[in-house]
Parts: sequence; C-alpha cells; structure tokens
Amino acid sequence: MSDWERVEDSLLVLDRVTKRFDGFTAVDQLSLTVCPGRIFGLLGPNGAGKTTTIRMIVNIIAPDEGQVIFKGRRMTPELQDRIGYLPEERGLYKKMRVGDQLRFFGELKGMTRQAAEKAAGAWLERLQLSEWRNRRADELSKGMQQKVQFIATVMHEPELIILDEVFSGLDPVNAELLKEIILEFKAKGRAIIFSTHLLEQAESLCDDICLINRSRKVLEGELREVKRMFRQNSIALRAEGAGPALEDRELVARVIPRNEHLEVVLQEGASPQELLRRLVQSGAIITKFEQIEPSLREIFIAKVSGV
Amino acid sequence: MRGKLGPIIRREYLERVRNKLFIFMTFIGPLLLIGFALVPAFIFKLDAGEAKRVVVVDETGKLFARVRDELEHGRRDETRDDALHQEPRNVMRYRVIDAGALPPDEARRELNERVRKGEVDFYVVLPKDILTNGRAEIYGRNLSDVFSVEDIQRALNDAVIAQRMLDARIDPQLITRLSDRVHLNVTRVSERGEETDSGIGFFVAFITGFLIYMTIILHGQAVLSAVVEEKTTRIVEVLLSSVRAFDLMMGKLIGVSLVALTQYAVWGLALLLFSLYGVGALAASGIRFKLPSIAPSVVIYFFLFFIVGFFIYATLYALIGAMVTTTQEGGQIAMPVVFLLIIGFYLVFPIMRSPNSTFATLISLVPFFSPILMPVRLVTEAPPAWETLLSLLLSGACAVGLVWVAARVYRVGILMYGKRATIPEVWRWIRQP
Repeated sequence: MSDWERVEDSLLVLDRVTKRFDGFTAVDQLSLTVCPGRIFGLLGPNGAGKTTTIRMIVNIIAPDEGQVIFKGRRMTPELQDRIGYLPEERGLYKKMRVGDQLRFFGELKGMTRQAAEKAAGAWLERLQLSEWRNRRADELSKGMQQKVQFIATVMHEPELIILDEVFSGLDPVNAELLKEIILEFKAKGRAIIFSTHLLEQAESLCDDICLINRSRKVLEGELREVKRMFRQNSIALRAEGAGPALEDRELVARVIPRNEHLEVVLQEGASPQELLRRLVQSGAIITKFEQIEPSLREIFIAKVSGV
Repeated sequence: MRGKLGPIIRREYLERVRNKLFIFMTFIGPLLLIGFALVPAFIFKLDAGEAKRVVVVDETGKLFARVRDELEHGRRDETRDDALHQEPRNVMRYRVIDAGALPPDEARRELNERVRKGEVDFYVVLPKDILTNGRAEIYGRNLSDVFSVEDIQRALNDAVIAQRMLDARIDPQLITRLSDRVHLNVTRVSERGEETDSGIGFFVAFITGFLIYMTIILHGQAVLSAVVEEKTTRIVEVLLSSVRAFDLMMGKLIGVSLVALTQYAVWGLALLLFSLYGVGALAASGIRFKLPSIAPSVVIYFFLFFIVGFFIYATLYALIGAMVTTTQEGGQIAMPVVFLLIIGFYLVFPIMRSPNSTFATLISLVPFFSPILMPVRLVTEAPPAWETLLSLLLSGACAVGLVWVAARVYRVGILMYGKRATIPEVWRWIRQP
C-alpha cells in the first residue's frame, strides 16, 4: 500500500478511520499519510466528510474505528499542541481585544504568556494589523478577523497546520499574503493540510491530494502523478493555418474550440510529435502547443461518475 | 495539560470584571437596591395636591371644633413609637370649614353644588344622634381618594369618642394615660449571649437569601450565554482542538464564580468600611444605627454555600447552553431551573419564621434549596453544626454529580450546530461511555 511506503518519514497517518453519527457513516475506512514539508490537499465536495476527518485529526472527536497516528504515536493532549487548526466556520470573541485573544489562544496551545504576547505582536505586524491590537474583535472587518484567526492558528509554530477553506471570503491581496506564508511554512518543513471543496484552488498549492466523496476515499497520491495518470491525448493549440493538419482523421479525432485555443483530441495511438511535425510542415505559425493536463475537477468528475 | 485551565479561568474572569455593566452593578448596584426599597415609600408619601377642603355639617353643634383640630393639626399616633411614624399623621393637610346652621336639606343642596363646581372636596354630615348610634355621611367627587376618606373617618371617630367620654364625665387624658401601650424590648439569645435585636435580624436573613438567589441567577445566566457564544461563533472548535471539553467547562464555571466572589468581596468591604467609619459618622450626626453582628463562621459558611449553589445551578446552565442554539432558546429551556431557584427563594420566608422546625430542617437539606436556605437559617437561629455540614455535604455531592453529567452533555452538545438537542439525545449522551 502506498500509505505504508512513506510511513517512515510521515508526520500524520490515518489508518482505516471510520466515524458514524446515528447510523450515518460520515467517514468510512479512510487512510491517508501526511508528510513534513508538503502541502496535503484534503479535497471533496461539501458534506464529503472533510471536516469530520479533520475533527478526528485534531482530537475533537474520537474515531469509532481505526486510529490517528501523529509523530508515530496515538494522539494525546500534549501532541494536540503541535497542531494548528483553522476551522471553516470561524469566530472570535466579539468583545475581546485582538491582542488579548491571540495571547489566550497562544496560551491554550501551551505557550507562556510572554511568548504568546511576543508572537502575537510579530504576526500582527506581518499581517498589517498592528494598529488593531487593542481593538475589540467586532470592530474589525471580516477579512481582518480572518487574518487574526490565521495568526491564532500558526502563532505557536505547529508542526502540522490544518487549514479548512482558508481563502474563503478573502480579497486577492490578502489571499496572496496568506499563500506566501503557507509556502514559507512548507519551506520550513511543516506539514500543511489544505482542505477545500474548490479544486482549482488546491491545484495551484498542493503537493499531495486525497479526494473524498460521500465519506470514502476516491483517489490519493502526488498531484503531479495523479495528473499524469489521467492525462488524455489532447493538445491545446493556437496557430494560424493549422487547417489541413487538423483535418487528417488518421491523426486527429476531433477539435473542440475553447476560449483562447483549440483543444485537439488525438486519435488513439497518435503521438503529439506527429501532429507538431505535420503542423510545421504545412507552414502553420504556432503560438501555443501544449499537452493538456486534466483539471482536478475533471479527474474528480471522471472518478465519481465511474469512468 | 492542567496548565490550560489557568488561561481559561483568567480569560473568563478578566473579560467579565472589565465589563462596564459588571463594574456598574458592583459599585452602584447596592445603592440602586436601597433606592428601590426607599423610593416607593417616598412616592407614596408625596402630597400631590393642595389642602383638601372639607365642609362639616355639624347638627350636634358640639363636634366641629374637635373634628377640625383632629384633621388640620393631626395628632401624634401614640400607639406607634418607631422612628418613621413620629411625625404629624395628616401629611395631606386639610382645611376644615363649618357649614353653619343651615337647615339640613338646604345645606345639602348648596354643598352638592359647591362639590360639583370643585370648590369643596368633601363634606360630611354629622346627624344629631351621631353620639348614640355612631353614623355619619360623607359626600365628595373623588371617593377613590381613600387616604382622605380614611383620615376623615379617623378624625370623626376620635372626635366622637372624646365627646362621648366628656358626656360620661370621664377625663380623656386619663384614658390616654391608662391605655398606654406596653413596649417590648427585643433581645436575642444565642451562643454568644444576649444582644439587643432591633428587628434588623429579619433584614439580614432576607438579604442573605436574596443575595445568594440573585447572584446565582445572574451569574448562572452569564454562563449560559458564554457557552452559547462559543458555540454560535464556532470558537469552540478551536478551543476543543487545544483543551478537553471538561477543562473548558470547568474553567468557565470557576472563572465566573470568581467574578461573583469578587462582587461579594467589594460589597463586604463596603459594609466593613461603613461599620468602621459610617456608623460612627451617623451617630455623630444624631442618627443611631446598629449593625447586626455576624459571626465569622457564618461568613465562611455563606461563601461555601454560595460556591456549592453556584456550581449546582451554573452547571445546569452550562448544560443547557450546550443543548441549545441561541440564548433566547436557552432562556426558555432554563425556565425550570429558574423555577427551582425561585421556590428556594420563597422558602426563605417560612424558614425565617421558624428556622429550626422539622420542615426547615428537611427542606434545607435538599441540595437545590440548601445553598439559599442554610445561610438564612445560620443568620436567624443557628442550626446544629452537623445539620449545616450534612447539607453542605449533600449539596456538594449534588454539584459534583451535576458537573459529571453536564460534562458529558457539554462534550457532545457543544459541537452540535443548527439544531436543539432533544431530551432523549441528551439522555443518550449522558449514558455514553
């Protein structure tokens, strides 16, 4: 099993974890492995079981079957402190000052008062919120509150950072800022679980993915590998005078006009090199020639619809 | 891990103590309470109008002067000797006019007219035979002014009785002297010997019960809304990824109980300062005020019972908070709890009357009531020590049991969003391992 091959250098392993609520199975026999220095995409539509899975990882609820292994051990309250969790549904204490909240959350993760105070200051600076430190949370905009919560998630330098729909509701500038910080943590060797139902978002960020649907794992692996597996024999083409080559039914199965290019689906067995050679021969001026990789969404739909 | 309890307690405590409403209630609250007690008395005594004009049609020809004196100048009520009543009785003041010797029918017609025009408020007719059969009549526009009617009645009464005595050749002053009432000096006998009791013991008992009842209900509700806040804002999700649900709940309960104790400390200090300096100052300006003496052991018991009572009720509130989705919903579900508290508070009255009856003994052993009732018994007539300890033990055990139950409900309920938990669900959570 691929899960076990990497157990050696893994940070978190879920081993056939199952959770049921009142006869409804929210997570069914789910196994996955998260490694340091990588971003792990926990993907799937709403209600697939992502949040339940995360709740079991952070020890909010206990699995009915299977186990969660973190740093080679079963989860304990001490190990909990090494995790930072940003839930999808977020909130702060409305009437509490931003600085006080951050210190509180830091202390809950085992930081000393002074360390939490210091970290809060540094992070507020980094996210351009310094002047809001003594304001009450309900005086902040939604986006600012979200940044405060992000700080609360990472201020204790956790080894595993779990971000559930971290970009939802953020403007592009702030989203970019958080992305930058996430990549910094990755570079520092931290493991990041990035949970979202927006597959496009995951595509640009994740190293590994696990697709779940209706409480079961659909697909798992390194993103690049997954994409290669599902690569189809199609070419994105933008060229002038490509007509003759595309009409060869031996080579080209069909041509689908897209927004900015033509999608050329090759016949089975035909190679892209052959098409390129024909285009060059026929004197076409090529501005784009690229093998199309399927999007995660397409892969997901293909997998779920049983193709 | 236990280190996490500290930050939770500290947050809960500091956020509440810094709250403006808390500061207001702590420092101004007692003054407001005194205000609430005194203002109605003052308003009641307000003289809203001018002197009432009363015309007397005296057919006997002997009573007018006496009736006028009684009504206009009033008279010290010698049957009462407490401070509040040492003042002229007729604060409303009256102007009493003699109708003269008009024939009755004519007088009535004319007076009715004057009453209608508003020139006269009342007129009374004293028939010739009033001294024998004791009947008179009063006419007026506003007879719902019962205070005036009562004053007039009393004046007539006194005047007629005095006249009868005169007619019987009895000196009214002699009667007054002979009917002087007995003054009862009240002395309380307790373990500490004899002490005079000016009736303030009643207030001490009442205020003791009331304080515990009020603080439990106010701070208990604070626990409920705090739990609901964490639930609705989903902060609980982050909290539970760091601490156990039990620690979260306990931290909250301990934090809020410390807030209540702080409040008591402030009030206790104020009382202490008042007894040290205030009483002396009042005495210097001529007002005698005696504070009841309370044994230190009673104060300690008071705190113990408060803490136990607070945990019993606040735990129930925390449990309810975990069950519901909004504070309003919580308020409805919490009605039975409030009901228990109110019953406990009302039981203070029978207990004050006979603090060591079998009823008092039994009811003050019931865990839900003892935190309110036992302190009341302690300040009225100290119960045997074993009873106090037993009730403390019973309610303490009840508090521990409730904490255990609530923790189980809390653990599951606090993660349920969007829908209120049903009783069977809650029952299942409690039985879950």
